[in-house]
Amino acid sequence: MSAASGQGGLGGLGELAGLLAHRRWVRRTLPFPHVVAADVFTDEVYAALEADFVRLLDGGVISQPSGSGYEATWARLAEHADGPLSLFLSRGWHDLLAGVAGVATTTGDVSVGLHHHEPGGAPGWPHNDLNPGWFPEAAPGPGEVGVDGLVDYHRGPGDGSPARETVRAVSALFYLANPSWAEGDGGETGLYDSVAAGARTEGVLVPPVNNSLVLFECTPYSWHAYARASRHQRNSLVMWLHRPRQDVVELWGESSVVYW
Amino acid sequence: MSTGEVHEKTKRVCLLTGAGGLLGSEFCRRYAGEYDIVAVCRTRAPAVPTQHEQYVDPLAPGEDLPENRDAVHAVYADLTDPRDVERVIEVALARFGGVDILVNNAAHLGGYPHTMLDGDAALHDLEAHLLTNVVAPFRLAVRLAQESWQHRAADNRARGRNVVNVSSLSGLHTYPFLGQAGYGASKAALNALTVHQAHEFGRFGVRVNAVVPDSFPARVATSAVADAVVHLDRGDATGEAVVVERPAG
Repeated sequence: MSAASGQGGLGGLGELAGLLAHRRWVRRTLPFPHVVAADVFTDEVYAALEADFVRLLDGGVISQPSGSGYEATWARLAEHADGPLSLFLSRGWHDLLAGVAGVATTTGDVSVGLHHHEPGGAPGWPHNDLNPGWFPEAAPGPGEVGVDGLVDYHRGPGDGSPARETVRAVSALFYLANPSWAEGDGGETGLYDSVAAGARTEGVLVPPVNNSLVLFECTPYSWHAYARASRHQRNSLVMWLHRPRQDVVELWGESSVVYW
Repeated sequence: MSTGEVHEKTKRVCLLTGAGGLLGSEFCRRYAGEYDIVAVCRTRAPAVPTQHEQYVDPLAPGEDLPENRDAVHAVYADLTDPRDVERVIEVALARFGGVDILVNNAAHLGGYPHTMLDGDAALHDLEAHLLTNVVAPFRLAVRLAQESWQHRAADNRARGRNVVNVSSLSGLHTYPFLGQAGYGASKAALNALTVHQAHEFGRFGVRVNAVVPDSFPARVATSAVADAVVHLDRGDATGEAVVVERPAG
């Protein structure tokens, strides 16, 4: 798959308006700037997204070990974007996330993963997502998105062939296909003001409530983690937008990039 | 020579404790357009826009949304700590230059299930009841008066400055075997404090009253309690305890 143009049939923000349930998301400044939203999509749209996720989960697609120490399995959406979930690979969705996060220099390159945690999976550790992401040399145009997986996303081509190194600019997590959540069920995403706070799980906890999301700009201080084990399975889409590496170097210095 | 304080603000300034609770959130929802609210919270912020939390339109994220224009100013504090009381007042005065109404709404509710003789549960809670429900409102009002009101009698009267203590019917009546001895005693003390403060603060033109609600939202609407607070602010009563009960019938 090459750089994809409007995979979800959504080339611009305006086309998303009819899919969103409302236009009042919540921007918070603590413990670091982030945005949360409940009831993101209309009931009809959400039902279609959930059905697509369940189809892939039941079909054994979301089965690749996360490989990063997390007790989770995942799949790359770009390899299975033949249903409603392709919305998340659209340029309109990319531009919406970039605008809400306030990052003006995103490249149009997206990485979207389908994540599945079995009940009781171990919690993760705080990280900030300021990691590199590699994409093909040709950048996507203004109405297009570039997707991950065409070159080694983590380290770029091993044979030295031309490619672009970007750094993650925006992280977003959308919960779907989960059992009803109640206080004490666990499975939250924790947002922290420091690694130490994360180690103590002292921060803002975003519960895995269906059709809700959390997103933030990736910075050296955007500490977050899978906060604590879930009583139930926990399903989500995780998404990253990207920015030129030089942006990050100018903003926070060379040492801020967290190499894989 | 100063001609006195000039107030160009159209909104009255409200210092509200317990702002993250049921009544605090309701007060903010209903009256943030009318008051500049310093919303004092222990752990939970009120469910309204604050300086830390505002609405954003995902399709127009740079737009100035009307809901955000009346954002309250949240301050996290433990009012049982005297240093936090001082800090809250400093923040309110620094942010808005004065306080027109102090609403002492923060409360410790905890009851005990098996009479006050059942171990130390009731005794342990008693300290929290008295510190949160009596000492904190006492200290807040006194410190605010010393810092801002004591020497501004004319201005206080012109602006109708006042204190509203949120009490409870449990401070007026006894409901046996509901584990309310400590809570009821604290609210009775708050009622007594209200009357004493009404007399002493009256010298410099600050009114002090109590709202005495039945349990909300179970027996009276939370909004009715919030409205009763504002009714006292708009009136001229002092030393009164306004009961908010379920309408008869």
